Amino acid sequence: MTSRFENVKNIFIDSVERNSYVELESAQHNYKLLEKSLEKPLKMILLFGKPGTGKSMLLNKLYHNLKESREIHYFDAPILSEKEFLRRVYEAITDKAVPNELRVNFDGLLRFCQKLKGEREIVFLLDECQLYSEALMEKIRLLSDTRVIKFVITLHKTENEDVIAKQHFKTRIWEVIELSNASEDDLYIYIQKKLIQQGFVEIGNMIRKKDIKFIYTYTYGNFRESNKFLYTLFDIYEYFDEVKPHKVSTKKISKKFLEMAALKLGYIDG
Amino acid sequence: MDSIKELEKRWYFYKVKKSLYSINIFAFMGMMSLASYYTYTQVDVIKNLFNKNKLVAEAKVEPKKVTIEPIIVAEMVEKPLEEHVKSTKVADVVLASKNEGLDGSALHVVSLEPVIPIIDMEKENRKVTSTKRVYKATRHNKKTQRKMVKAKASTYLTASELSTIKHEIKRSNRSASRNTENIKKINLNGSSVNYIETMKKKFKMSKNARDALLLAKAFYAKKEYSQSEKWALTANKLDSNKDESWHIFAKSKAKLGQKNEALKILSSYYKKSHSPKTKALIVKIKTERL
Repeated sequence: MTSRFENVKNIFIDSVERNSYVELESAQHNYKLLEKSLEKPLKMILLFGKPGTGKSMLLNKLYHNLKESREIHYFDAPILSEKEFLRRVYEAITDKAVPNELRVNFDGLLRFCQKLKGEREIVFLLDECQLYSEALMEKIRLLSDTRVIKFVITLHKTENEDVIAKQHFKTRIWEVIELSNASEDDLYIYIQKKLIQQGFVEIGNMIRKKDIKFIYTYTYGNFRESNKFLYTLFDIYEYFDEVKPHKVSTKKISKKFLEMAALKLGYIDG
Repeated sequence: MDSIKELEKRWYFYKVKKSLYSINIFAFMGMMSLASYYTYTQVDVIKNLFNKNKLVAEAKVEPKKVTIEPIIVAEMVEKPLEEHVKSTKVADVVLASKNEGLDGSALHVVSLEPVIPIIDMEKENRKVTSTKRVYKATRHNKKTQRKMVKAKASTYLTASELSTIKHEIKRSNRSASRNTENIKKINLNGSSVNYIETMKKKFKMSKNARDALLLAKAFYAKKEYSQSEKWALTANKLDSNKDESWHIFAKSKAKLGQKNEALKILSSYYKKSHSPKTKALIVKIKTERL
């Protein structure tokens, strides 16, 4: 027999699935900003924020919302090889496959894009751009200069990350949208919506604000960390539901299980 | 599954650790509260100590300003020494503030000579007694002489009667002078053990305040302060108007380390007696020059 908590924990698996996107006020605001920026004659748009603040989710949502209305391409995983990157860009623009034995000449691609000026406007969504090499980033910059290709890139905000500080980036990024962690209230809404969207209303009712407060103490509202916490919590629930069901209350979240989850994730020392 | 079991064990350890931490915190807070309470209850004692030190310092710098608190003095003024001894507590002793005087005026410091030895006092007392006796005898002789003059021997007495009278006069004069000589020859050795024993026997017989006081002095001179205190108290019980009994009692107290009590007793007696010796003794005790 499958425990009901097994399905609950699975909704907190970290993914950028469109159906797992939760509409939050702060996320909505950022999305509108992003849409407006795409309308502007900008060469590059930067989505900036710590890991787990919803950058990929926002890009994913943008792609799915706009793919029917405009020419938009989404590279959800970073393409580290320059050859591969150019090939993917060429294929996206021309809609033609490049034979494996051939490679795309960057100068040729640049001239091709220049010819398309005024005719087409193609948007490329690039996730995890902090992994791209500097040489590749330079090529991306040159491609954006043609005003045919517009790049929306995401960058992790880390201590050592200085890509944004580089001159060639500074002069081109005209719009920077910074994403931050959720507030305690946002986190509460996020979890509730996530559970209710998947039909777990009863579980949603079990979670009280003080439980969210406990989780927030350790995750600081980071979506990825919070999802991980809830996944662990419901994993523990699943175990007790199967082995010691008398210990599982369906009225409220057990403090013991919350603490066990925090212990397991290393938030508190055992 | 095993990992969850293991996790549960870890959680139990975590709870125990957390409980111990909370217990430690509570214990620490409890100890702090007790310490605060203890400190708070000791404030009066600390204050008294502070005042005591302050007064001693003041007395050393400005001995003329040493005064006695009127309230305490007023309460004690009419009580005999015995009652003061019973009612006095060290903690209650509050010494005077420097601006308050007994009669509103600054008091003079009377420098006292060291305590007069017992022999001298004895001599003094005996001198007084003998003087009285001599005086009486002289007065008696004078009276006799006056009578004799008045009698006018040549007019009323025969020659044989007159010679008898003259002989009587001579004899009485001789006896008077012999009395004086005898008194002068009395040897009072106050420092000897025999003296104390003798005085004790004497006091047993006489129950006299003077004898008790002499004993108190003798013990004080021998630095047996608890005994001197006891005998001074006995003397005071019998006669509370003797300065010496108050002084010896207070000095004994001071020597026994009960300085505040000694000062309180002397203050009350000074209010009553206005004795400069008492005042001087107060200053001596305060400035620890006893």
